[in-house]
Amino acid sequence: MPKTWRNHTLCAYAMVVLAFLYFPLLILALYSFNESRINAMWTGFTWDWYLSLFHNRRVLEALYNSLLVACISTVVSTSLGTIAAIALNKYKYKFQNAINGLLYLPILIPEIVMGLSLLVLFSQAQIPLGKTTLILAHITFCVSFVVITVSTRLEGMRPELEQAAMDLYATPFQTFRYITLPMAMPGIVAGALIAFTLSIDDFIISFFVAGPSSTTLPLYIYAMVKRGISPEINALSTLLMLSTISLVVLAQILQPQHTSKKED
Amino acid sequence: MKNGKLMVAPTVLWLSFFFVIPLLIVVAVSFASRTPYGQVIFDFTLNNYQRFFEPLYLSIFAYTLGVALLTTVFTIILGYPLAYFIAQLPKKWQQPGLILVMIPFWINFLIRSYAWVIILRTRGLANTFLLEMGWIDLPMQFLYNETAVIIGMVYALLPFMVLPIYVSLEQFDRRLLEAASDLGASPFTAFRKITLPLTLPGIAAGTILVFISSLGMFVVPDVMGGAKSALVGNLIQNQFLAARDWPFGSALSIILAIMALVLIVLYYKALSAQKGGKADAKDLA
Amino acid sequence: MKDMIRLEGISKKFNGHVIIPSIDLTIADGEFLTLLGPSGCGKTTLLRMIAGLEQPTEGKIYLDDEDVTKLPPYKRNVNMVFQHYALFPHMTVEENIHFGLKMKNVPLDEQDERVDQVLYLTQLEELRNRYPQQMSGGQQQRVAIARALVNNPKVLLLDEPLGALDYQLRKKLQIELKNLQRGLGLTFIYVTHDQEEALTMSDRIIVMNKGVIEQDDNANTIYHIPKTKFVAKFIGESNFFDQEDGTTLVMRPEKILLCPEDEENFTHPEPLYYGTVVDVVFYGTIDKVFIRLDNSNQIVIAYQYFDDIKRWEPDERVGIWWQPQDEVRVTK
Repeated sequence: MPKTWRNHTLCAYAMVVLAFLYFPLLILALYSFNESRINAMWTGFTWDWYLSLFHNRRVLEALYNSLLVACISTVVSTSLGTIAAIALNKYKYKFQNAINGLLYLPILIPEIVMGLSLLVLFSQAQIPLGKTTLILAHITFCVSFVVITVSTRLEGMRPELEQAAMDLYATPFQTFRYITLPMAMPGIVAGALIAFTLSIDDFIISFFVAGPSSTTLPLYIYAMVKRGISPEINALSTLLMLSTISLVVLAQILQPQHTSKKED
Repeated sequence: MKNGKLMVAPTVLWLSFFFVIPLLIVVAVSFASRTPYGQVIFDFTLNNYQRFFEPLYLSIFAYTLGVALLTTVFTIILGYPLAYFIAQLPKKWQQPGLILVMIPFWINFLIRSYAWVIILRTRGLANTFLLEMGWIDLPMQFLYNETAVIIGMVYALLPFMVLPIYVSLEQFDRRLLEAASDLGASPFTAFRKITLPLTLPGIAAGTILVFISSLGMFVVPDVMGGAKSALVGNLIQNQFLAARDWPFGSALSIILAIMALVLIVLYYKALSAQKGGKADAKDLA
Repeated sequence: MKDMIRLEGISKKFNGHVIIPSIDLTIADGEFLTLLGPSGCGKTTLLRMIAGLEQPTEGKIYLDDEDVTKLPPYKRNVNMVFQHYALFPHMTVEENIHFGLKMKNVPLDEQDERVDQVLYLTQLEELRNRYPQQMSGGQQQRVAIARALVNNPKVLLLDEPLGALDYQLRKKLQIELKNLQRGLGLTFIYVTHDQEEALTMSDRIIVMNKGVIEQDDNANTIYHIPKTKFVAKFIGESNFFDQEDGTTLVMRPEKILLCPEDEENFTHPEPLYYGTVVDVVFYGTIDKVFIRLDNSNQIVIAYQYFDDIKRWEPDERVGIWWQPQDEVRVTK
């Protein structure tokens, strides 16, 4: 039957494209366990490269920097973004289009432009590059993603739920505490996870605004890549990759699927 | 909560201060000049923009546009069937399929380009394999050329294309195809006359995302491309870090940002013309 | 009987649009009152103003002789059953029903007792630990009612509570709801656009159109003696005969009587109009006969019961008459 033939072709093509997406990542992970330091030939399985990472002071320092920056950026951008999303969901603004533009432009504009403009700002304001500038920059590119994630969740929520709570004697604060917040929570957690992932994974913007004492994991990997291939990079990249994947999958599970609003 | 409306203020102020103001300073710097040591002097000059028209820089821009165009074309060729495949899966398999496409998107360009270096370098997987099989006698130079850059860019940006196309295919009413086939259209004709036109907005959105990202890309060429295949992104990066010519770098990035914004605006115009209503930024983001 | 709700000069404007020009209305304690009208007639807005979810632009609302106009919804002793139930999806049936009592800080053992009572009343005991998504539409509807009733409100407000259910279930729940209201002796204000629902359930019906009360009467009067052309058109089927004095006669199809054009020695009043049968449609208990009047293109509908003398056929010539006491005259 021609129809099944077409389906098979489509399926095969899709599988090839998916393989194209995953093959390099799998190779990278695989080689982080290869005993040989320089050869592409598989010579045996080893944990050595991972172990050597944990004895490398500079790797640990970069890990510490990455986690510190990601944690602070996540907390601040999630708070800012959630509050803004709740306000945007609840009120109509005169300059709604301007506000939307301000929220979406940081996502749409090329990252390199954002990175260098922050570099210019910090240098003009004479703020020395370091962890502070990293954190300020990371909050800036995370906050829009948080607003969007939380807004999507809130938009899926019926306004009648809040009205029903008010009708059932809940004050505005109680309504927020018992209805709005619990219902928005999956969106807020997803937003926080996305912010954390973006921050810990960011290379481009960090590249412009980090100082010599504030190397993060991606920046460290870049410095090593510039010097050539090494199995330690493979191991470090694999670890970073795994943490990203688990965070993203977690965020996806929490993300609102098409919620009730559309169904009737 | 009388002042509830003000809850949006912290974010607006933050983005004004750390997004809008920096851009304005870059605009100012792009009209400034510099001392031989790289100090910015705020006078008013159009020199930085004039330099852009020197043949060397124009050719880099033209080259970047070419790479961006090729990248876009290849991501459509690879991405459309993949999106189509996911959209026709049973409902419960669509979400996992989509996550599978999105995961590489979240891993940064640096690691993903580096993964290709492992495969393509002189003593990498590809060469080792070909040598072992006896198909070649000497390792081939896969890296540090245009092909490598295009492979890396297509690889990096493919998810940007798949997602919007999937969204438009998911909204597409499959009964239209049954209607078309009932009216005598062959599957290919039905695809060409019904599916493709109705999913064009998805392709357009994907194109915008891929094209804009290609224009500003500097990681992939930096890791996989070598000096000859520098793109505008690398040129800008270079002005800021190696050459310390911030005014020229600023001018280049303003040109880049304007090109991106023009594309986005054109896209919205087209979209709202098609919808007959107002499109907003969410349609892209 | 005591007044439970009094609306005085209530009006509502939205961005300069007048939704409700001005309404005065008194609702007695224990009454089942229905606000009936097409969508956009202001009936839901009126209900939401009583609930406190919307503020009237002008006028006063009294609940049990207390002025509640300025009170927020959470300080009014009325409860609402929302159109799509608005059950909290992150809470079980029991937690949903507990919510109002918890917010009012009712002592815990009293909370449990009242929740148990209302669960028994609405036959939800088995489902108490379910989440709303795990239940059918009819069950969700009962939870919404239980959640409101448990607070012992002075008035229960219902906004098209059966609108999302299928026909059979709706019929069944209409009777259940009516019995519940009678048993509790509670004041119900019921909003619907379904005239059949309004006629079967209500003690009193307010027919609204464009924010204005067209008629305020019991079901029987509303049906048989409509005050305006709108009411006659909106409820049931009607035939209209414009009169020379500017008034209009409204005749329900079941009051229209037919006789052969050439009938002799009739004992009933003389036919007022003559026409030709254009169509006869079988409706189970009746035949609907469509007649085109001579001298005009107006179509008149008459219901014929099968115990009537004769079943009509298309193209037959008929005379139309009615009993003078069935005549209803409206002016607008």
